[in-house]
Amino acid sequence: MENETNHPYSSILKVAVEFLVLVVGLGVCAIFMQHKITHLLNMTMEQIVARQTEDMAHLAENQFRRELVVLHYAAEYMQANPDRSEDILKSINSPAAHSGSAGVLSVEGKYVLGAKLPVHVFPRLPSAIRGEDVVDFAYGQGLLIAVPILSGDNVRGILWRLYDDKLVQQHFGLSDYNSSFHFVLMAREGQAIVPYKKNPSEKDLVFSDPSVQRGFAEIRSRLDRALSTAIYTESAQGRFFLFGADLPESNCSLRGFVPWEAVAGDISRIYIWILRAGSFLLFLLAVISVHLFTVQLKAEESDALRREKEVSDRASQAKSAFLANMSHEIRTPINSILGMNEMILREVEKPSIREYAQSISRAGEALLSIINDILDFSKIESGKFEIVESEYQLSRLLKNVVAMIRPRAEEKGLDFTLHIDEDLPNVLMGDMMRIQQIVINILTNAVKYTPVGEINFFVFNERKEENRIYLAFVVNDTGIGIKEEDQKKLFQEFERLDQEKNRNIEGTGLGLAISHMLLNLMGGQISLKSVYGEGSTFTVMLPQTIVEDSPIGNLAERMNEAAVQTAQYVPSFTAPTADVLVVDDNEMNLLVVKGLLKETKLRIDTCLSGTECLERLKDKTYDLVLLDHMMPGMDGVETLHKAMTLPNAKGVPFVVLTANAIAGAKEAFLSQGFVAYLSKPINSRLLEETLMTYLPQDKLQPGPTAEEVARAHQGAPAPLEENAAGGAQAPDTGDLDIEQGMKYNGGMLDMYKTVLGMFVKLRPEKQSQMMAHLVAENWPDYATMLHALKSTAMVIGGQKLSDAAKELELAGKCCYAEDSSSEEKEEAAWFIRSQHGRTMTLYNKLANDAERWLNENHDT
Amino acid sequence: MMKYLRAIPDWGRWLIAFLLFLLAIGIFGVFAFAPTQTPRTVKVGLVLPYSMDASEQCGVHYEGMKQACEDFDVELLVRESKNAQEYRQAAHDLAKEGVGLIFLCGNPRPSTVDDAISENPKVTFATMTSGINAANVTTCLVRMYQGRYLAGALAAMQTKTDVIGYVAAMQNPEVTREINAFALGARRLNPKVRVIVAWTNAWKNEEKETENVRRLVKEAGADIVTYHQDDQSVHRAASALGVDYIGYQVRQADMPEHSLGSVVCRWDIYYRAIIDHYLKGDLNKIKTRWIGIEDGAVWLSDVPDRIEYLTGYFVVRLRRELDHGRPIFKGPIRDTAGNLRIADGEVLRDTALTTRMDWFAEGVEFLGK
Repeated sequence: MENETNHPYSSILKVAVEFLVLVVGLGVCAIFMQHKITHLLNMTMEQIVARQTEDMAHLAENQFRRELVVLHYAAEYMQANPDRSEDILKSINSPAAHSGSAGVLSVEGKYVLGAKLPVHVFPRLPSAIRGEDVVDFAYGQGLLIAVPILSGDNVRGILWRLYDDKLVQQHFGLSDYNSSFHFVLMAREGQAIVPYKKNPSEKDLVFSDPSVQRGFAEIRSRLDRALSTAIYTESAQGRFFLFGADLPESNCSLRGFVPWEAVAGDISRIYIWILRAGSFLLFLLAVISVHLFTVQLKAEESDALRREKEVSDRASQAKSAFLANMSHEIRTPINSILGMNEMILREVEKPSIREYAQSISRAGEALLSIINDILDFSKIESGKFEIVESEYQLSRLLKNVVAMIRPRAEEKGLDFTLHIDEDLPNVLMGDMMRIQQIVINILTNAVKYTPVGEINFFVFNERKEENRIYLAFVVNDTGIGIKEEDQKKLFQEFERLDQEKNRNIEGTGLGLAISHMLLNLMGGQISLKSVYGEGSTFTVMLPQTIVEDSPIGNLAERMNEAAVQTAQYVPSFTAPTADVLVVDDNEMNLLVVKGLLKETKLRIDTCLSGTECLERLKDKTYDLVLLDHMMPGMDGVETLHKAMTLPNAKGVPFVVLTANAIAGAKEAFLSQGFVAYLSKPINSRLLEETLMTYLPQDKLQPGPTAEEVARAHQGAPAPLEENAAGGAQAPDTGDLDIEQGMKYNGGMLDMYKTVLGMFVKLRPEKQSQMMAHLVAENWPDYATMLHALKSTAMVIGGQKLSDAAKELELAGKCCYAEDSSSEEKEEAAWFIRSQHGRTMTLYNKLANDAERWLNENHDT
Repeated sequence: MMKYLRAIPDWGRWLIAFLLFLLAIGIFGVFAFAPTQTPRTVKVGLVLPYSMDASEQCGVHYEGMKQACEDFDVELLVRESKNAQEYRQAAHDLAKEGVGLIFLCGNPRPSTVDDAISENPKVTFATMTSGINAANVTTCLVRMYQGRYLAGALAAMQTKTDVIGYVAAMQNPEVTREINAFALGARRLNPKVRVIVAWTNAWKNEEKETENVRRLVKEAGADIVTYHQDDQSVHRAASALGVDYIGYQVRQADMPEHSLGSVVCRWDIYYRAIIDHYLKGDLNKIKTRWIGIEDGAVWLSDVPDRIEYLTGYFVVRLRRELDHGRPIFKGPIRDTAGNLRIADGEVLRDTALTTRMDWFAEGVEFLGK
């Protein structure tokens, strides 16, 4: 829980940290990128500046050539007019043309005319005597240009002209190239560029900066392999591109710098754009991150939800399993109660006792129906519920319903009137049992919640298609009604409305919910109109397939007239020649079945195990076998499979008896080869119907009339009260609760005594079998035996032993259950070993007590 | 997918994130630091007019070029040829192989190489012969005549008969200017010396050369001979006759008995200068380049110790003059007919050396038929 509450904050923190790391990473990348881009840009700029420098070099050379041409003319003129040489020199030197000094040298480099020239500082000057034009730069002197004075192929002298540093730029006009480009002309191998000056210009400052000097040294070395080059330099004076170019036709070299901004100033906008793009990407990333974070949170939430659902699903399954288990536990005693009660109703004539028995019967049935409701609900909940469609008669359905409801309604003094459409088709296709359940549920509610007045039951076809009918069951009562705000809740599970007022009305509150769900499964619907305090009208609409369109006829009339009385039990058939084998490990159950079938005069054999059953089947051919499912050793299914291989058992119908009422059990049994399925507690009517279906028809005889039965009961055993009184006077009976035992045995003393005798007699054998299973750790059989002991002990009134046996049974089941962990199994086995002895002691004591009691009451 | 991610423990996820981070850095780094341009290897091509086996001169050029390329650490591709057709093809092939500088060795006719030059305007061509004109061709000439000048001076000091024999193939500006320079050098130190030229009319003709040497010695009275031929037949002929000789283009490092040294070119220096200009990018900026004794490329080599000290002194003095730029063809110079070809105070300009050198200087004579 703590973890879950912290979760979102820690997530946010985590995301924040991750985002921070991302931003820092991006920042580092950005810095790196900026560095890289600057570097690339500067490299590109260097190339551009280098090319521009080359252009400047060309320009300079062209200027030199122009000057050389002038000198050539002068030289030619001198050659032609040697006597006018001085005038020519003057004209060259005249301020109007150019300034600077000029002169003529001999081929030996001696002074001939004009200005004096320090010949030795111009190493290229000798080239002039080979007839070449000379452009030579000497540091401190300036730029010298010289041409040969020719006489045919022979050089007679050299005409030269010298420009000082200032004049170079002034006259060669290179400063026009671009005002941002600052440069000087120098000798190729020159080192120092700017001498010390008293008032250095800005340009001088740049040139004398140490890092600029280093840059020029780099340029010098690069010029070995290039005509022009440029490099980017950062210095104290600012950022510059330094450039240099050698002039190929002379020893001159250009050196200069241009401020970075002048070349690449506008390019800094790139950074702004990159910054914008980067910011935008970062923003996108943030948006995506937030989105992903949200998605992740949602995913985690849904994970949590799924886990919760899994937990609740498991709980729900456990609930279903528990309910199924419970139903088994509850049905077993109800089986006895209803069975014995049935016997009372059949055999007792005294009206007051019959009335009590009928009350027991009603209560038992109510209990059963509650359990069935719960079971149905758990089946529907777990999705195991299936609608099984088959052909059925609507008339039969309605008869069943009416037979069930009418007595209850009349008991409460309500008028129950039927309105059944005579044209309704009789034979339909559908799940009759479920429809019946729904209709009974609604009608039962009507009876329950109507203290006074009447109940009208309408059945008609709301709509009819070719082979489909929309059946409408309408139940209208004058009951307490339902408040409007409660009507919506009505079909929800476990809802019981008006709790205060209806406290005395029994029920689970599941009925309508189940009906609603069943209708949903069958494609029908249920609706309600109600006025609180005046009454309710429930309408069920249900589509059904028509099988046979024969009208149902005036059913309502017939049934309305029929007076239903609580008649003495009359068996629906007798079959004195039919042989039936009943197999059950529980002697009590055998007694119940035998008792229920007493009036049918069947010849009934019983046996206590599958093995015994097979023995019997070898010797004798039975007309029908009733086979319990859960038995020690061979269970019912196994027994059936083995029995089917016996020649005597060929064609013999096997009916399974089981308390296992969980969903799908019936289908499973039928698929194994059983012809029918009877759930415990056994409904005597169903039992008789089943027998009538599967017994050979020639052995069936019509049942006796009520009078015959009554006559047959004359001189029956003494009524219960007398015996009970006798029992009450009995002395201490130890663990044996005679009263309880008598209750479970339907109050029949001789039956109880027989049961007790059997219990005492079977004890040693059972105990040794249990011990054998325990030693062999044969947990399934052990659990089955303890299960039987539990029921038997309960039935004879040995509650203590029953409880102890139940604990052992559960532990035994745990020992072999698939979903038990090995630790649980270990623990359960330990429990059995430590408690088995105690339980056996209880068993002995109970048997001793029973034996003693039997001896004491031997005569009674 | 998510399921598997969930299955990874927390530290594993951090590890994976870290590894991804490293990977990203790595990829980024590779892109960031990968050279954007792979530096192009500089290739220099050399086309030889003969195979190196057939021509000793070709081998000498190859060795010089190889040395220069090694000094600059550039790749050298060499193509030998046997005839003009192969020579042309070789020039084309080298251009196709991405060679930036092609040196056309020997004396190819312009028609042989014109198309290779014009079809590859971005390739720099260099030749050692004038007459091929294109924007991307430069003629690189050697002032061998400076070496001849020194050789003439040496021979003039050594000769007893004042007659020096000169076996030469045929008259062209190159041969003529070298004969003139030889004669000028000789007469500078010994104005009595006569240089007798004996033509062979062939660059290689052992028989004729041997015959010429014999005649120069026996008929003209020469006691020292030199030559301008493609082979060294003169060495053998002179040695056989017991006269001294001065070699040409071939070292005499083993100091044969009659050798007075050799006029040689340091081709490695020559090629180094060419490659240097090529690498700088200004080789073709000038159409004709000269390389000479002042560059260390021309040399009078392997002068034997037996020459007199004074002789050596004078030769060295002359060489120093040349080193300082003294022109050899400096007036007054008269031709064989006594005409003043170059007046006092005048110097012959370089262009005339290759074009109008059709006269012989005073002191040059010819061996009669």
